[in-house]
Amino acid sequence: MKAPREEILRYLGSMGHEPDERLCTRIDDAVSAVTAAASPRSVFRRFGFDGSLIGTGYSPAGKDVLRQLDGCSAVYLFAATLGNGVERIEEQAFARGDSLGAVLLDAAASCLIESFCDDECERIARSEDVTLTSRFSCGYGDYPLEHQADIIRLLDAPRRIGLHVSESGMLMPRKSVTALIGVLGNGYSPADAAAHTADKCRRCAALNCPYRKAAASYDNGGQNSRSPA
Amino acid sequence: MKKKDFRKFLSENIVALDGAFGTMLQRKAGNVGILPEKLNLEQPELIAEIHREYAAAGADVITANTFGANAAKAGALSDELIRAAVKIAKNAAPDRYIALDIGPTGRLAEPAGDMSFDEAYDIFAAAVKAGEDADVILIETMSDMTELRAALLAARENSDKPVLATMTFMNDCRTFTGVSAECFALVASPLADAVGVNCSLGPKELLPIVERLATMTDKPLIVQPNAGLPDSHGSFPVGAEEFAEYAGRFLDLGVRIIGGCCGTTPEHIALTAALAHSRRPAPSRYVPRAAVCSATRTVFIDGVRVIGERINPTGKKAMKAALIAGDWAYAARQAVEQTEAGADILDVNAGLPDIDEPAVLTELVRRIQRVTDLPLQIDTSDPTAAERALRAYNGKAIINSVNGEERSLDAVLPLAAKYGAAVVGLTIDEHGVPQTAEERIAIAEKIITRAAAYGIPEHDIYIDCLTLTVGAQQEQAMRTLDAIRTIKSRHNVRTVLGVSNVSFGLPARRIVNSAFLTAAMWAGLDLPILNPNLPENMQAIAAFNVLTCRDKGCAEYTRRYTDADLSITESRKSTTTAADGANDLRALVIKGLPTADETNRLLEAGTPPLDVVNGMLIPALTEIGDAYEAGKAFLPQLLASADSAKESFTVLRQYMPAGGENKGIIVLATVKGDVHDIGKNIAGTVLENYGYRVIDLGKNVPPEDVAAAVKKYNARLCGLSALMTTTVPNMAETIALLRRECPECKIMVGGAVLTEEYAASIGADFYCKDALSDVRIASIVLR
Repeated sequence: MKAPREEILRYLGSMGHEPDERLCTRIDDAVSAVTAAASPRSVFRRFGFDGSLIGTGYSPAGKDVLRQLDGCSAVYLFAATLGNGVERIEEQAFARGDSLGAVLLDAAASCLIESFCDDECERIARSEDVTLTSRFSCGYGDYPLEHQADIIRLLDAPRRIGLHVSESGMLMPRKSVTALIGVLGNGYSPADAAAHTADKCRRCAALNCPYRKAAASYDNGGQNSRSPA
Repeated sequence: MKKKDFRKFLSENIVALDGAFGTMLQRKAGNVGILPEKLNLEQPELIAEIHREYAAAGADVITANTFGANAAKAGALSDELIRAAVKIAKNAAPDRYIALDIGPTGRLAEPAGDMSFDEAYDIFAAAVKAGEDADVILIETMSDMTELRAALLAARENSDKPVLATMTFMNDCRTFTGVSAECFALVASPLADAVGVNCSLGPKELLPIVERLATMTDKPLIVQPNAGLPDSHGSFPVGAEEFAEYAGRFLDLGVRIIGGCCGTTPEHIALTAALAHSRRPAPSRYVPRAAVCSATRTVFIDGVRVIGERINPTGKKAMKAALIAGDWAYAARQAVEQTEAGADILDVNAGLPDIDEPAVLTELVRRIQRVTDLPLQIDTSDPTAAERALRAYNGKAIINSVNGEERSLDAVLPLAAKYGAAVVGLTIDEHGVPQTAEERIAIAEKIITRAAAYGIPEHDIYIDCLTLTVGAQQEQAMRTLDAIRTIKSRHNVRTVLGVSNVSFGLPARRIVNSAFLTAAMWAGLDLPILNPNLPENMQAIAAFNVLTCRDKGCAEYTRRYTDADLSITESRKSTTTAADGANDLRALVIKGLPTADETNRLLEAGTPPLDVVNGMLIPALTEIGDAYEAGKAFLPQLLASADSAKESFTVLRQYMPAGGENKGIIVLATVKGDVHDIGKNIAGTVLENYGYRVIDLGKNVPPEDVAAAVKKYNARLCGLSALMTTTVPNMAETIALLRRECPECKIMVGGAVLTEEYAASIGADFYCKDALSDVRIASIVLR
């Protein structure tokens, strides 16, 4: 897991801000504190895919997720969490009167959960010898947040990794991710494959999003809330 | 065969439980759908068949198919599914004990999640009632302390059946929410008939966890391992023979109830049950130890442990004001400060005249346990307040206190027994404060005897031999020490003492306090109640631990004091002096640097507090705010300045008349269903800096609570936050309620998914786009 300073600043809507030495130290401290408080865990399951996850009766809804999985005959359901130790240290920071500290912890945790997901997905791709699409989560595009509960249930996530979903579709612990990931078939041309694995920011319609990244990939940190645009 | 009472059977035998149910269902029926418990109605014969196989394998207890049949998972069907399951099991295995299986709700409880203790309790209570025909209640696979306690209390209070309770641990001996084996044992043992572990790991991985549990509980141990850790295809590697081999090792550790969890089958249970029935129970490994705990941290009272005294309004003006105003943040800050200063336990007291003590104390406990993992001491003379706080507390607490009066003994000891709390025994009675050591000993022994009748062991009683004031009764200090020495020599109790009262009315009180503390520790004091923020208190304890060989090799002392500059620890005076006058504080705030020392210096130099506010803090905040709005400063800089200004305000507040800088009251809340409140917290900090009084209701707040607070404080502005599209409807509902009940209150809203238009469409008056919007809105509304 890693959380570069510039990523953390981007989460704070402070892209282009050159942090001074003091802020750099505080960012580094936040990353160490989150790393120490986190207990990262993940779970995944592979399913055959024909528009629904074969054998489960579950079908993802929305044209965006289906476009993402177009041509995939297998998918992985994936979930990961940093655990709830992170929330506790954030609350402690606020209680101490250190709101900057709390916000830096929050941003560091958002970076670290994404980075952890990247690590885990790479591990899956290697160990299962597959090429994966990028992660697609409830709340992206028109994939309804209400599906969060189905994913949690199909993964038995409360029991496997202690990840829950609230009645309002919010993941708890907060610094958690669930996603559908497609398995790209062998017949894919590199160009088609690139369309599936390309950077989410570039594919997103929210052109004025303050978190929009110029290049490389970006996943919505922690919660999969709909983009504000 | 006629079944014996289960408790009697357990006291004489090793009990074999059955194995996995889901694994068997999958084997027989393939994919079982969303709610396997529905099969209780759809295919009862299939369920009965599995029960019969486990009975034939030799299981003494057959677990009804009710794991996920609670109302949180099965909704309105819950009752019917549970009744059907118990009936099927009874018919399939009439000569075995039938267990009502109670699994987790699938929701995450407070403080981490959004399910309250009461919601969880109601769900479990309903399940317990629906399963009334079962012989045993098996609470299993729990990973959260709130949920576990809700289930245990629901079982205890709605049934007289034996209760078995297991949690599920990871390799690090903790559950997903951080509950350790020790905390689990301390909290569950008083409420359950047997405690133990199940699921998540195989028998090999569970062995060390069971070893730790074995010394911590006086109750029979229960173990239900998985058949190893599943591979990526979901198959479990540990076969029946290997499983039974490990079962033997569990029985060696004194395990009394053994069965299987995921991946185990009748084959596993057949060998395990045969082994269980061929063996005599091994002796318990329980080692009685004095300890208290939160959900995640255990504190053993096997040396001097500090109880922080700061969360108590008696004689503390600021805490008193905070409790009356509902300013929970103040108490939370005291909790964090004392934790960081090295306290081991925190005393929590909300005793004020004209305050709803049960409600305030309970809320205080809820708020404080969110920010500290230290165990709490619930300090009240009102038994109703004590019980409500004990229910809310996620650990093994200390009740402060019971005394020698009949009325007190009858009211408090049953609470300590029921909730498994430790209890402070105050050596006074209806005759008042005894003047001799002997009389105090007599009262202590009366308390000890009466507690024993309730099953409360001596190591859970902390005797307070009373600190009197040497200014009034000088010889009494020595009587107190005599009493401590005597009671410790006669009984396995611990002793507790509020230290600072000894010097009341004297000058330089710290000198006498520190000397008395040292003397009391040498007399046998275990639990001084004191202010851990005062260095000389912690220094006296560190020295005592060195001199009594508790601090082995002086390691802790050396670590803490090698670089300590004792000239500044006496009083935390600044070593940095301001170079030149007035504008320094302003510069510190703009740079986001610490401001307490400079603020104190200005006040000591005679600067009026209001000049500091209006001449330095407000201009600094305006400057950084303008820069932020212009895009010249970024959020981290704005927040650093806000924190820095807040630090200065905290110092100033002590010098200003109450309400002197109050520009109006604002109620803030993150709406129901939403637990992401970082934006709301930032808004609160910034608003306070601009002189508004903020009533922060926290997160996941029901609409009614928001309306009630707006009315109570007669607030003219209310701020709501929501993160998700799915929680915005709750925001709309809250707004609608406020419109009906508090039509004069203006409403501002903020959160990741909101926009100006969206905010207008749900009926809000104002939309907050960033960390400063709320200040602008407040300045308009509360002009």
